[in-house]
Amino acid sequence: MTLLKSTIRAGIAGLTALALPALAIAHEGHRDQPPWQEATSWPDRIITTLPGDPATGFAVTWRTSIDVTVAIAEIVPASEVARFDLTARTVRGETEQLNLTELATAGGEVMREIHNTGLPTVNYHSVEFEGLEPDTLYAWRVRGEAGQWSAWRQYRTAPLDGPLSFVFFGDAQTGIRSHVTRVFDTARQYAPNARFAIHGGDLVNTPFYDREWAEWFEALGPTHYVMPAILVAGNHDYVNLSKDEGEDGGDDKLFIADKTVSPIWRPQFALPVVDSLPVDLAETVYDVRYSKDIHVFVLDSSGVAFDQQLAWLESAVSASDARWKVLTMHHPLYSFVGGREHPAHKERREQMAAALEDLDIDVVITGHRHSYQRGVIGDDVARFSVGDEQEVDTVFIITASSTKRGESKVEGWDRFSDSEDGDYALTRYGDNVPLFAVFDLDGDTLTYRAVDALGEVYDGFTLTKGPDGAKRLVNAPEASEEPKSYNNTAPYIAWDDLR
Amino acid sequence: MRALLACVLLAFAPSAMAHPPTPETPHWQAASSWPDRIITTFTEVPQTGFAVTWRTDTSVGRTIAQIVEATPDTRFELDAETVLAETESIDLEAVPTEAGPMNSLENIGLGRAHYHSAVFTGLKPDTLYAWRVQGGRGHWSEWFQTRTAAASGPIRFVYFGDAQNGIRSHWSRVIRMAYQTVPDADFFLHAGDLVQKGDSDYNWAEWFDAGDFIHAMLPAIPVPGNHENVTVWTTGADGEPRRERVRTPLWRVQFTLPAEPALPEALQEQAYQIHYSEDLDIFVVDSARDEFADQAAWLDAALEASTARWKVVTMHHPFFAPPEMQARARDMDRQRAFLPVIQHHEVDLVLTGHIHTYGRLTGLENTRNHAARSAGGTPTDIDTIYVVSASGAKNDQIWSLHPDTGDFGDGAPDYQNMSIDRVAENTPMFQVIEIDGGDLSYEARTATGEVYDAFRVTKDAVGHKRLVEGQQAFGDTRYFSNTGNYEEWWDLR
Repeated sequence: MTLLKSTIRAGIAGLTALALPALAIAHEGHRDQPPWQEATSWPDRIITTLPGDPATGFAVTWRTSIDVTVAIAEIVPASEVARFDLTARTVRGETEQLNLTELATAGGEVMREIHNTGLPTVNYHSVEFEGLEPDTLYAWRVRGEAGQWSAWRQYRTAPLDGPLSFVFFGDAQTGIRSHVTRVFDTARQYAPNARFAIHGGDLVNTPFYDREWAEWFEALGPTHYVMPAILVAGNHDYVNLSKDEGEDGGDDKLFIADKTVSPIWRPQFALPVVDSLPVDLAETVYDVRYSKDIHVFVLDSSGVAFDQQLAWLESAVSASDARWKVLTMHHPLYSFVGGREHPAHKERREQMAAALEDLDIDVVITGHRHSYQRGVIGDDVARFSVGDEQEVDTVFIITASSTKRGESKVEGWDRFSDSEDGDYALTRYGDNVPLFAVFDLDGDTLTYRAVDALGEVYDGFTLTKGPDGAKRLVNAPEASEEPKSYNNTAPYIAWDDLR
Repeated sequence: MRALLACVLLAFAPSAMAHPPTPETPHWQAASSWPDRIITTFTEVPQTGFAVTWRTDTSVGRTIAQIVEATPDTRFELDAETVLAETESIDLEAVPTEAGPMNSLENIGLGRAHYHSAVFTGLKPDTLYAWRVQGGRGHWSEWFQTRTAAASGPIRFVYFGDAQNGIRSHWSRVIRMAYQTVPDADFFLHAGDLVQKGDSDYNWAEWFDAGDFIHAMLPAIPVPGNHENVTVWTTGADGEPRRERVRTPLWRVQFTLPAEPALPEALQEQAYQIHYSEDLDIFVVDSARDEFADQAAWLDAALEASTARWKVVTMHHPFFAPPEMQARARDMDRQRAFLPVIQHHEVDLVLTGHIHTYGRLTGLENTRNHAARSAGGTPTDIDTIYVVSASGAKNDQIWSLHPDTGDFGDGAPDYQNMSIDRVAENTPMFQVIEIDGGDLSYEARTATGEVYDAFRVTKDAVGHKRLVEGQQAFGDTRYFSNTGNYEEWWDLR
């Protein structure tokens, strides 16, 4: 039965409440839809993802007005000739209609969405290219109305193994088009040949608001024509359908079951589905075994059934043959920006910590805090260590690219020290500095850099795996520089004015 | 667009409403109150300034740009400086030209557009700046980041031959592969025939859509070609219709380029020089206009005055080209006007387009030693290197070469001391050129990123140059006969 909700709570329950001024500004959108938001009979919001085997295929998703009712794409191995396109083959995909003013959830509930008032229903299209050769450059394009094609784009399939780089972006969320664009631009300049990019959740602030998705796609520009995206759902990608407060006045509804990922999420991203998990976690919990060298596991830390998610993770990680294993989710494992820890978050953190003890995960990379923090888990690691070399189990990283900024309060780090098992050490942190992360993998060596919007390295380390699987971490010189804080950087004002 | 020199000055028509795009106008062509077609170009002093030009619909009158030195801070923009833009209004349907209005069939239904430009000055050399431009109030572009030129030091740039055809559909992959290959290039140089029809707003929409943010982030050096000319019918003194070829007025409204006081008004922003740094001067010749003598005299004086270590001349038309071109008086006039100047001043590189093939020719000081060329082998003493290249979907056959020697065929002009070092057909290309002190290295790359041609030149203290070929200069030559099928580009939109 369709449940029509006349009142929709705008606040997405997160550790930081959604600021009201954003809503006031938001109304501008439908009256004055910019050309970079409006759906037309030409394809836009084009993004490549990896629902299948990255060595032999990829998916493309795009948007049009509802005039376009078929999903047609073309693909051809890229060659040097002027008319490389003459032997392209046509691939048909699926089209899904999305009513932006009455968004329907997977469970059939409908939310009337005032932010999108006046916006017409749109069509999302998606095709999956299959049967491709590994590590091969392909040219592809997608169609709107007949004759209204995207430009030809070039995309390289995953290699079976060998050195590669990838990028991670923390929360984009605020000032996406105006400010976060430069982070994405600099990342492309810094790592132009990165094979894929992970977005660690909170891609936008108001996930049912079409205007913010327009900003997100506009800011990324051609990034995901060339490299596929691995998308993590954050609390700001979640919609709360409940009119009711949580049990203790609101705070407890952090992970309550009647929240759902934004109804815009699934139409616009073609992501893997894990059949053994509840349908609510489809396309938010999955793994991408990119090559023999790297396997990425995605959890939905805002989603339901965390126990089941962890059980799936344990079996998937155990079964993996990849050399490096990276776990990503939105909420951090260990971090501190002040305030009391949400009990639900604490519970999940402890569950996660316990699970990691038995899991061979090299890096956990997350967002949510709007500050930069990087630490390690190991048997005997020194707190705030920037020492020469450490033996570690797992490195954990929190980063963000948004204009919304938190503050690292390292004195709060002691809250983790009474944990029963393992040692946790914070190595590097920083505030008021949007960063992206670049990983270079080459055999048993993983090199990590956190890079600012000017392309300067703020933090880094090298992780080396010995024959016995033991991992040694050596910090980059930048890790020893004075941490950035609100005291030694330019003034900060909140992001509410940015559109 | 330079307001002082502009021949089409803004006339604000208060009643002129933004023209609604015709149903066929794609959203990536239609003007709106948001800025688009944003492009960065050099001013007279690239170390301390640059210019940006953008477009809106006619609802936007006076508008502004902002700039601030980029920092890693979250709110890097709080102290940004505001610069007032110059605005020009252009009627796209009756395009004004120096020879009178041209009724453009290409632009029917498009009405007027406003072009805005801002010049940022007083900047620090070799410094990253963040900047943005505004359309209607609050309708800002994103913040872009652009680095000013350094006074000296290593330089890397990309040079493209004609984009011209299949610009959005096919040329996109070339410029994007170039960007992926050298995302931190100092500038991109476009050697003429950027579009097929110089008056076509649709063609320019394609060109800007293909380059997108790249045009904004990395400064462009646009070179005018014959396809940036338009045909205007006027009435001659005898009362008969007269056909004139003149530069499209869209050129000057959409590119803001350095002034050249030594040249006549008609050549402003079309022939110009860029003193990029102590290491590089670039001279842009407008080879698609008739003023050869004026430009040759200017080029001669400018080269004489140049103190840069490397000197590059770029113009759309090549000197060494197919016999049919050699047979045309105008082409031979051009060669007679400019080639002696280039040879006299021992220009290092001449970068051209026009004939939709790839060719690299070298002027040799001593004897022709084509046969002795080898990768990494004995350096060859050289004068000037001439390159012709194309990046778009149109590709033509190489001029006739002698089947045995690979040299110019019978009937070609006497190219004594010229070596044809590398050619290709059916292969859109971009070239990456890197200067580091006395070393210049060059790569021609295909749209898939593969290196097809390469060499290195070293220059000693007295300007003596030696060339060492790269391995890729000796790969199989790409012809129509041994590459994939070719079809003409007519269907590409």
